Amino acid sequence: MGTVFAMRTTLTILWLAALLVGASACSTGSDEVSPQDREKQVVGAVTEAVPLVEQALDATQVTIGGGWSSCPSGVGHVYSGGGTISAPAGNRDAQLSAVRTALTDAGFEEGTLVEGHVSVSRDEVGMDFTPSAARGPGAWAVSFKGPCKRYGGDDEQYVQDQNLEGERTLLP
Amino acid sequence: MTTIQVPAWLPTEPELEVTEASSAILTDVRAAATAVSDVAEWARANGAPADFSGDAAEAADHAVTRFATDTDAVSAALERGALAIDRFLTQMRQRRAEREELMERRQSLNGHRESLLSRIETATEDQVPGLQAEAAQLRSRFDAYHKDLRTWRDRVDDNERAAVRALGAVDQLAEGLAAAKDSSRADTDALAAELRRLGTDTDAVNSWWNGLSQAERNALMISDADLVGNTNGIPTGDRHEANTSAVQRDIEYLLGLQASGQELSASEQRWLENARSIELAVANAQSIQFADLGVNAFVMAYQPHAFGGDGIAAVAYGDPDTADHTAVYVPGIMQDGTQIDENGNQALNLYEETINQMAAEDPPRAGSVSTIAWIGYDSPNFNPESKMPWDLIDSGGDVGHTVTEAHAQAGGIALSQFVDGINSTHTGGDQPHLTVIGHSYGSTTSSYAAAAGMDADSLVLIGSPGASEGVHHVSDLNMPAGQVFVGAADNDPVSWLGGKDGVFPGTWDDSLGLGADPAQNDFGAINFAVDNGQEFHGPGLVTTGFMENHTSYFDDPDPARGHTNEAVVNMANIVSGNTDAVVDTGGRTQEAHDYLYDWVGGEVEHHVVQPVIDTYNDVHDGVVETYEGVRDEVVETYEGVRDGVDDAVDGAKNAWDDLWPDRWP
Repeated sequence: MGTVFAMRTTLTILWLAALLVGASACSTGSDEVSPQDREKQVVGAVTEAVPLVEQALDATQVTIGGGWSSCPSGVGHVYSGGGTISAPAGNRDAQLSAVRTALTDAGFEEGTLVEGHVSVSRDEVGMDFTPSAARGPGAWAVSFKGPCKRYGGDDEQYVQDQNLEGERTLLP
Repeated sequence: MTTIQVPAWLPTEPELEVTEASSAILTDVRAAATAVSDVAEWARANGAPADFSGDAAEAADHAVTRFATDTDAVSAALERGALAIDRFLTQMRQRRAEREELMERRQSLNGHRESLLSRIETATEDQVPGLQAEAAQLRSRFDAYHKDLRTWRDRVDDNERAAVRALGAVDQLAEGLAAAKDSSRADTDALAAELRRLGTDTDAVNSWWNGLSQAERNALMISDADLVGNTNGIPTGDRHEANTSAVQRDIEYLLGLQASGQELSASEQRWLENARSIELAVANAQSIQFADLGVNAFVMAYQPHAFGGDGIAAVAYGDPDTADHTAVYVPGIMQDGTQIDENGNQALNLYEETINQMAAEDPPRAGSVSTIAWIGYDSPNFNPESKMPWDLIDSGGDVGHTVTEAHAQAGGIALSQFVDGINSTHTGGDQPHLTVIGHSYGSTTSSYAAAAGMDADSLVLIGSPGASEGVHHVSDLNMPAGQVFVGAADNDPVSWLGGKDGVFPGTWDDSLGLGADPAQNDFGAINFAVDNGQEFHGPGLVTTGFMENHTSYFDDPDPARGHTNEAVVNMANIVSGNTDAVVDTGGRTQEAHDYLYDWVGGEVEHHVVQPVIDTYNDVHDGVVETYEGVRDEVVETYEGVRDGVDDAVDGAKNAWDDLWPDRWP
């Protein structure tokens, strides 16, 4: 019996955490802007940043997509995506430096925390650029993400519908 | 004049129009065949029994019986059609491989030709006999190439004609009726019964399945798509085909209902969410974000009605039957079949990182990888969109009822059987290097599986609320020595729940919860570095603690939220077997519950005590301002009041400190 009670206690905490999400839509992670504006914010940052990187790398091809999806916790929605920038092989450190300079000169906030990556942000949009052998020689993986937010009413319907629509091409 | 006959330059052979993408046709036909087979089975069950006769029976059941016969004929026809297409696609796959070889030969022969021509142009008279001999030899090789190319083209034509013949042989109802009565038609009832009998013996299932004819396998995939798609031990490619047909069948059925103006019930809506989520999980491998990885997706499990509609789902990126390194990712709390797409993205990230880490080794290491997102157990699930009290009660009931020892153990058994299946279907006569990664409550489930003898090479427990009851030390997990790895962010509130004692020691709760915290130094696992996440307060428990810190272990670096990708890099090295690159940080020396106590204490201090002090200070400041304009007598009164308030606040603070020491309780 003690075990069952212990389970209940532990679960109560887990459950309360989850309950907070369900019961307090107004206070826990609700977005203060509409999903359409959030989407514009993310897409705007990405479509400004990626061409800068493309130029810095003298890239030959760029494919970037994005869309709405549920957050990994299953709570809220996020506009995120990514893709590939194909560039001629070169000195990796020099390329990373060129990408970083191009982005920070344009006003993106430097936020690199991991070697071999260039990470920048603007407002609540995070972007990461890194060479990816898994995508082929000279390929760079791009990923970006807005904040995870909860939406209600028509806004919720919008993000759910967009989720079903799948990603859309942002670049080229 | 001396002549040297050089063969003509070889042109390229156009690619076949039938590609891998053409297999979508087979999926369509199988989905249709499966749907018709289901209808035929229903009609057979509701028609007149074979030995039933008489006017009343005739009147009552004649129409249904005839319908059953007709639908069975259509089912048999589609079964034959699907088999013909399956054979044709298999043949075309072989022809494409043969064409590739021929084109490589062509390139080589053209290269020799160019070399010969350039040497002829500068040749001296005494070199001519040697060049003539070389040209004769080259002509002979060119002739052999032309002959092989003709044979290959004939083979393609034969295959196409055979497929058309096979499809044409069942395009009339009469032919369908004949196919249905054909004594050589696979007895799918008997085959399904045998598959069920073999049950969880994955080696026996695999051996039996591989012993079936292509026609038998095809028929069973149509008649019992759900059984074939979800039985461990059946090769991944066949599970995928059966499951994909089932997914398509379900989506078409449910969208058809909607299109007819019918409102889907709650359970049908949930069913559709399950189907669409796994469809999306497959599509994500070809999305703009991941397409350049060139990885194929396989649906390894699809049971949308399992666990009251929460659903079972599993998707693999990369074929685990041929992969050198396979990872099974077990998601945790709040995850169900409707979220396999998001979990699939985590698996895709892990896939890419694993390939990249192998490529970054010195020297770079080759090897194929498969990462699988597996939601094959009843995870504590809660509908976060619940707004009505009865929804909350229902969701709470789901959590309360699913998170019991029995359900966690059942999850462990299901996981162990799934892993057995992967080991059984791995080709090449050996087992893959297999890692199980349990996240959140999935780590508890994975621990149950490991403790009971799961056949995996490595185990990763990440963001764990406990390593399952009865597991006190890494040695209790029965994994190979040095192959249990743990990652826990300091600011991940779920990882604060594990402990040797309950959350309230000394009370009725003084027993195990979800088990010991595996991140403890004395647990004995290898602890790897992870991003510790951001500190949080109040509602941040959910938005930052849970939604970010607990769920970002598989993510790319995210500068907007200050997260690194240390966790996924370390997990990638574990998946590929490069465990020397995983640095042991030593683990926690502070009890997991202490993180929780500290946080709760901080919150009470922040939300209860501090506001009292702030209020006092405001009053204090106000009184000081007033004091400057009043008489000395009033000052005495003020000082008395102030001292009284000071005493009261000190008393409150002392009482608070007594109640809430550094380490509560």
